[in-house]
Amino acid sequence: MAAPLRAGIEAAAGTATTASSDPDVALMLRVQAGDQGAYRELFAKFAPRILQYARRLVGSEARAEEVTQDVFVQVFRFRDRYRPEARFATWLYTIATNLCLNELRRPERHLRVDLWEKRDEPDDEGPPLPDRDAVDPETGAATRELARDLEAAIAALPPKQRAALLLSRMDGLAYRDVGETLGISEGAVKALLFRATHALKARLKAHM
Amino acid sequence: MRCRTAQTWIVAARDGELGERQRRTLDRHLAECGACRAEQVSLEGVLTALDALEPAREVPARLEADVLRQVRGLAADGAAPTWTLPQWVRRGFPAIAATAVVALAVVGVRSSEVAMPDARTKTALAERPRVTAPATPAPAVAKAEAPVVARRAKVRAPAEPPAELASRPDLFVDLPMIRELEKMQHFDAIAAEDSDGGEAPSPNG
Repeated sequence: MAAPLRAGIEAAAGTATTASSDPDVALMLRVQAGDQGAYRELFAKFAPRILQYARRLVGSEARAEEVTQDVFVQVFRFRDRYRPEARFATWLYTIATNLCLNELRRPERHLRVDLWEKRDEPDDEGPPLPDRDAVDPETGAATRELARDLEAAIAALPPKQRAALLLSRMDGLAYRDVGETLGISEGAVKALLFRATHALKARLKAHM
Repeated sequence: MRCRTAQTWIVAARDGELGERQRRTLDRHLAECGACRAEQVSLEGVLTALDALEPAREVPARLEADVLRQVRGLAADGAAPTWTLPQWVRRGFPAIAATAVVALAVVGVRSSEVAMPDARTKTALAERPRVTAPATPAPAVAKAEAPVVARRAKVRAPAEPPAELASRPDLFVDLPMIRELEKMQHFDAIAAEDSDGGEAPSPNG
């Protein structure tokens, strides 16, 4: 899941990322040159990930869509600020993280309904369920319940732990890139991930 | 190695984020510590569950359309954005420019009125009551105000107004423009005095 992106990012890693080693950088350079087709390619590639990241980080479908829209408008508006020395994914996730954290600071968000809240009725809008076509219905139900509880546990994490966990595990960023995105050291990333994983383990005790 | 450090490293090791030396240290610790091995197993369960979560969902067509519409708008505006003025300034530029032109025109008209006052207006000022310092001012206040009063007294006293204006002071005496004119004349007088290097006369002449 996160492996392809991680592999892509690691392939692009090095002292100097160049357009030749990272196709996303090449696309962004084309965007800077005024190529709207390249912008659409970047959007198609990254928008689903950014939307899912925002959804899990802000916990609201509507706000996640607004944030995603803002992220990509900012990518275009500030395209001249991008420097190819930086990985495109890191730059993009930095914008997304800042907008999400700003969103989380807004007082009115506390009145919003938690997207991942457990519901009694059949869930049409909740998190998508893995193994929907599992052969064994009991196993499928258990997996769905685990996934739902896990989403709820992620939503309950403090924002920075949540962001670090999502960037690292869901979006496949290397620790160095997670640190760059959040403005912290790699050591701090390790500590955040340790605390986040332990918190999840405690909340999912029933499943483990 | 302490168990706390080892448990911090378990997640990093799984992500391939540990150096070779750290990895060997962790492996040695896990071989000796049953509690940390148990921790590794339970964390592995959480990490596996995380890996099974859906990474991304399709973006609604409406969202994509909204973004592309905004981007086309920015491109049409020629937004190159890191150095341009904010959009509200750019959009309001015609109004700002028009306001500035009007303001400059008003200032210009008023300046020319002050620079070339009508002789009749000048003489009419003599009719207005003036604030003057008392002949023997109170010590504390007089010290502070004396220079100001002296400067005010530098204005040359106008001649008597023409009879036709003297008979109708209500036509002009209370006009704000004329009050401003009087102030400007005071300043002119001060400037002239400074450039001449002369002494200010006493308040009472």
